[in-house]
Amino acid sequence: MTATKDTSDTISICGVMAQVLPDKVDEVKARMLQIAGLEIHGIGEDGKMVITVESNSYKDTGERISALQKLKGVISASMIYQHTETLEEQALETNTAP
Amino acid sequence: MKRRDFIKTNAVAAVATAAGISIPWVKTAEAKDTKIRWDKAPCRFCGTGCSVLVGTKDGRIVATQGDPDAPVNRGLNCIKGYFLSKIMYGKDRLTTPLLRKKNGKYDKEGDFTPVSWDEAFDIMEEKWKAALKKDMASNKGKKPEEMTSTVGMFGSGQWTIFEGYAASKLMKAGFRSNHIDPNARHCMASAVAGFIRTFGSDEPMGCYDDLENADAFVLWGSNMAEMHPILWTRLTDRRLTGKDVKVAVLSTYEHRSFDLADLPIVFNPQSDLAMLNYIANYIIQNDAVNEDFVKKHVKFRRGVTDIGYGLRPDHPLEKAAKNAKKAKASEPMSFEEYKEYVSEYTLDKAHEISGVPKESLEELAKLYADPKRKVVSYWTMGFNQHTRGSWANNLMYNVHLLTGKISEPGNGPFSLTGQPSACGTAREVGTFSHRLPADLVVKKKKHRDFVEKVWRLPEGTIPGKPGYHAVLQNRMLKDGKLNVYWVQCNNNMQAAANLNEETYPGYRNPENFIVVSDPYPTVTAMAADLILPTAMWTEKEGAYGNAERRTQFWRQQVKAPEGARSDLWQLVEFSKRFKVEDAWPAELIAKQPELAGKTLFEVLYKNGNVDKYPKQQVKDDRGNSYSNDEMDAFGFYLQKGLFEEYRDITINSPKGKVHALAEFDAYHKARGIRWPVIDGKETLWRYRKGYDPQVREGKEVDFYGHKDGTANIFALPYEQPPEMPDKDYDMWLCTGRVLEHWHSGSMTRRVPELYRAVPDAVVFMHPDDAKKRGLQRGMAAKIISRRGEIIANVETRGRNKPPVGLVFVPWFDASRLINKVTLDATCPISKETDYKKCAIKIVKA
Repeated sequence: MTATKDTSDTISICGVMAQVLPDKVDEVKARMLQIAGLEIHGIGEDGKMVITVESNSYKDTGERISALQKLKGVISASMIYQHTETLEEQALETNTAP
Repeated sequence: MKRRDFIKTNAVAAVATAAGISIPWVKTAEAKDTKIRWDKAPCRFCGTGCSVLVGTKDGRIVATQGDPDAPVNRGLNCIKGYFLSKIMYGKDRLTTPLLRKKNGKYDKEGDFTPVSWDEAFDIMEEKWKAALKKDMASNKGKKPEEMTSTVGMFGSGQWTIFEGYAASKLMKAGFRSNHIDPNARHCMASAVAGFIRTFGSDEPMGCYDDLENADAFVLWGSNMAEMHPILWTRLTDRRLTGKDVKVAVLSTYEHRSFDLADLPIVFNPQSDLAMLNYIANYIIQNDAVNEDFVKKHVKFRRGVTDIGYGLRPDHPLEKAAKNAKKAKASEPMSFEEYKEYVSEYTLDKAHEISGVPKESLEELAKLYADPKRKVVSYWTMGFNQHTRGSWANNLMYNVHLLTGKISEPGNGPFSLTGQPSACGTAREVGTFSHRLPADLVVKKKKHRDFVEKVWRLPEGTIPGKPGYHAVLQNRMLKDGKLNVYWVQCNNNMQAAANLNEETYPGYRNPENFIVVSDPYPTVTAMAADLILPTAMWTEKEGAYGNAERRTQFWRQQVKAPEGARSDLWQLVEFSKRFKVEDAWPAELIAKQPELAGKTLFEVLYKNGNVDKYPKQQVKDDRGNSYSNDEMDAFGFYLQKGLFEEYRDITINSPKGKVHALAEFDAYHKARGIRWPVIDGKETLWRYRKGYDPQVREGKEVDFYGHKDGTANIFALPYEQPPEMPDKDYDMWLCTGRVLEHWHSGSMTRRVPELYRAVPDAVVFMHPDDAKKRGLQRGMAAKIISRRGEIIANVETRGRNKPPVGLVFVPWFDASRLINKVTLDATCPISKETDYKKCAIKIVKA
């Protein structure tokens, strides 16, 4: 999986819950960590994993979570939270804030 | 904290909560972003009906989250949900009506030219009025049962409930034409026919709560892992945490759901009929029949056989079929006769027809036969898109009825749906050519009389003959019998089978005027004469109904792009263009003289019901305000008026409260409510005492869709499909979907990253089949049927793994229209097309 080069000034973060067969966690985890911008924050005994995928563009994050979903050993990948905003918007907010 | 860290912490907190995992460091930082307004909406994509929290900032959707308070998805969304906030912001979004013009005038062969809404409706008005005039002349002196029409509409299971209801009313009462059908015909009609034939009432008896209560799950022709991922997640949870829970996955090729299968079964196309009869026979032979249940609640019927394939009447296969004209017929039989009937479906015979190992077939039968095991059967298009689809549904119910494993937690047959409101809109408000709201039908005068009364219309307004169904509409367009045609909320040029021979010639027939409403320039829009730009999803207030009878509402979150208007606005605004005299004969108006001189808008929508709720500010209980563009345009709360009028039908219907809905306002508060709603309470399992208050006194189980409270077991055989591989076309073709592209891809393909995830249609095939034809992975192959051909790239190692002799082609790619190849054979009972099997050959391109 090669993501396109991050060029835009965007924060794009997606929180994903992945379900992996409990006895395959280590093996699948290694494969997951090949995906750029992916972090694993916690793993339950039942094989559920708390993951974030981030990049500087909506499309790269999208590509990365699609790759995660298709990864061998991932029984299911659920999108829990996604947020995308551009740095320009933030700059604007900072400027207009009282 | 930096902005990025703040957002990330929110993401981690949301996932940790959904997963039930505690992550110490996030506890401190669960502050919500106060600049974002959050509100609930059901997801736009499939029939699961997940609730999504939509985060809006400065009039734009910036974030979404799986709704933690939603019983369906409990904080989860699938990967499709990631793209929800993007589907509205495609670069090629339409913002102006486009009319084919030459030299400044409408011309069927002209080029698409931007026009105003006024000009768009002017030409529509002219064409519709000409058609209505012709219809009134040919219907002179005819009874409602004999009427014909040249006016047609093709709608959708993606219409909101309000839109489907308004459209049905405009067509069936306003234009007096029953030629309205939804694209749900292509995915759900066999399930509908099966439910009605067996139970006398549409839609599942159970609900998603079965997922936490069953000991076994059997997937018949459903790739739940990719198509209904959230339900799959719930099923996976049950499989991994329950004691001795089993999952059987059946399909004609191996797919993602096989990853979790304890019992994986790949079977020959069409042999599901034989396997289901074998299971029934096994249950009988092994004394696993629930005798008491069967005696009290079941009747047996023998269905007619040799019923044809729903092709044109002059097709040789139709001429050869003995019972093509009375496909639905059946006659009573005894249980003893039924036992005799299925006794020929032995293990040997089932094995021979299906190609499935005998051990697997026995293991499958045991799941159903074991009285201690609670079983849910799930299916989607594998059963429904089937030339014997209604039979497959009936045979599935047989198995659950013989064992009494039905209508209680963890036991039951359950048809999943592909569209967000295939149930809520297409089926429930009656947008099918033969239906009226709440299981009522146009054929029955009593039903028409009742609906006309609620609608405050004269007796005899609604025609009594079922109109053209989806496949027939395309044939009638081609034959010039349907002349003005409005398509909303679907992409039927890409979706309907047999594009080359029926659909395209029908749309381009010089006698016809075709209007397509869509947010994007789909293949269907490009084949039209007039395109109307449409508002989508949360750009309007709406409501959907999911597969478990759950009705869900949402408020308008954002404005549509300037120039685009909702389907609802289009329908209601267009009705202003007609005086009742333009569509109805004088005799009909004379029955209710106060309607004379009024517009269809006044007759249908400003009728004292629909305009009952005055213009108001839409607010949530947290004090946020929302727009409602339709309310602004018409001056009353249109959605509420339409729904309350519809609700009146559901609670006062001649069939009783079997379909009763709650008040409009209740749905804006709840995370959906499952009908029937009795005394303000939803119903989780229908037909069983203790769960369903409508079960009649003295009964444990009451299939009240039939007056005598029984369900039908149908004796039906295995019959061959219309086309099977032979020496000229030596392989099976099966079509379907992949997760990243929903439906025909008209929305998801607008999202570049989704498009890149599966860039072009591929043909999934077995490596041996590829090798035999000199093909390798990645090479271009030509897929040829008797009807047409397409080119796609060979995939031998993908997530779909067909057996030797079968290929699978996904169905989303507008540049690789697989429906040029597919056959438009249908189930003769449900009229649903079989996209799952036809004969093809493959050569190097």
